[in-house]
Amino acid sequence: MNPFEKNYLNAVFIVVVLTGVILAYFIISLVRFHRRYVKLQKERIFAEITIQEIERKRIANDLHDSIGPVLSAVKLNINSIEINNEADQKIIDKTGKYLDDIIASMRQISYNLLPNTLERKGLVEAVHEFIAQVNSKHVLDIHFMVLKDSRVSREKEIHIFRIIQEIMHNTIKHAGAKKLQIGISEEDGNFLLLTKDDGKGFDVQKEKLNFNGLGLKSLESRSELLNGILTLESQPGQGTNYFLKIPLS
Amino acid sequence: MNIDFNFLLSLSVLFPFIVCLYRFKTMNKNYRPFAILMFASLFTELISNYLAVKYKTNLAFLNFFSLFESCVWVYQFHRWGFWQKKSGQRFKMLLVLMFMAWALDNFILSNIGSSNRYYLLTYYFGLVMLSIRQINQDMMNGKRAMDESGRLIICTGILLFFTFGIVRESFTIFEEGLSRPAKFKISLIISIANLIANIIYGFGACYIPKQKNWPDFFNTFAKKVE
Repeated sequence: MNPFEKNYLNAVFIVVVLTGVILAYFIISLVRFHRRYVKLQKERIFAEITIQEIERKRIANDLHDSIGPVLSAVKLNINSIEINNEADQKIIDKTGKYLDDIIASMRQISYNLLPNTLERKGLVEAVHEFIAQVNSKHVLDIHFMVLKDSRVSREKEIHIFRIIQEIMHNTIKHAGAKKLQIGISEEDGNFLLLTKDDGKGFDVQKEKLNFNGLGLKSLESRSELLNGILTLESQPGQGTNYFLKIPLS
Repeated sequence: MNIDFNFLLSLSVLFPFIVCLYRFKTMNKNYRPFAILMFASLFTELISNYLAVKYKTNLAFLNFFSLFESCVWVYQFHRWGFWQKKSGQRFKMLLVLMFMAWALDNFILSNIGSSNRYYLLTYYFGLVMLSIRQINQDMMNGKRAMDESGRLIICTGILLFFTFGIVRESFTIFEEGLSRPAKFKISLIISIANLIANIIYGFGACYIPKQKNWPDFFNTFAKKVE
């Protein structure tokens, strides 16, 4: 090789080495920072949802245990007043009805914040109760099937319940469905949840890119929190299927 | 001997080839263009080596392959949802532009029997840009660590291989007067980059997500529903 070729190859060598070093540094730092970013994001979601659930629980308990009994006592006291005047009696009756409405609303708010049944009887009963509530208010035929009852921990139960709530909410609000099937089971150490509706469906990719679906984000966040995999299958005119797989261990 | 050494290095494509072959049926369909590219790359290496040995030139074949390869890569990005709006339209437009650029380089600027380095330079450059943007998109939206995401690993491989490809093709513009050993040394750049990229592609193929299979539970459930 002549001196020109040697110089030429040296130049090539320097360019290649420098490019390699820059690329390697870029890729390694990218991997490291992305790892840290994913970890931080997961921790942030976990903290946000946990704080939210703790706060909901506290408010639900306060409503149920503190304000509830006081309102009941107020109603009892009002009813025990002896009145001879008919006009006053009407006012008392009206007040009693208002109090009943307040107590019912308060119970509903307390239930929405945290269903008592979930704490006392577990996920399956809580879902049954929630479905009964939805069925009484909306024209949606909901079928709930438990193919195999699995033992989900209390911490996970609340998130699964919220996911089911969110799915039902989405079905009522957006899907325009007449029928919703919900099934839960256990397979190979995994909790499985499947829902299927006959609604109008949507373009999943578009919806995700539009960044509009807060509900979808919430479903994904909770699934992530449980180290689960959430699969959403939907196409315009073909209904929507959700499939959630959560490791039980 | 020199050709053999480069050829041996290029056979590293066997690693992603085997992984893709093993996982082809179960892998997410959106990653299949990548797998097809790995299959095609192995066959191309074998055919081009055969042509080089028997007819002393494989450039025409490689020129056609570069068009095929670039189209499949672009299709792969299209399947990954790279173009968020007017996806189909942009993809088709890019294909037309690529074909025009390829034809211009191979039939007007030079001939099909010589290296289409201007087309390669443009396509390598474009692909590096696409992979950088895809990495950024995944960094923003990805929920898995980068070293566990098939797409991010594959994009890293693309970034590495095609950046060296740009360097190599840039130098070949000025290599006309160089001796054979010097040319061989320059060609080693791409062979070594190819080796590293193939290893990265192989690992990327291992992390390609599986097709979403509904378990038996779904079938039981679906039957009950119907």
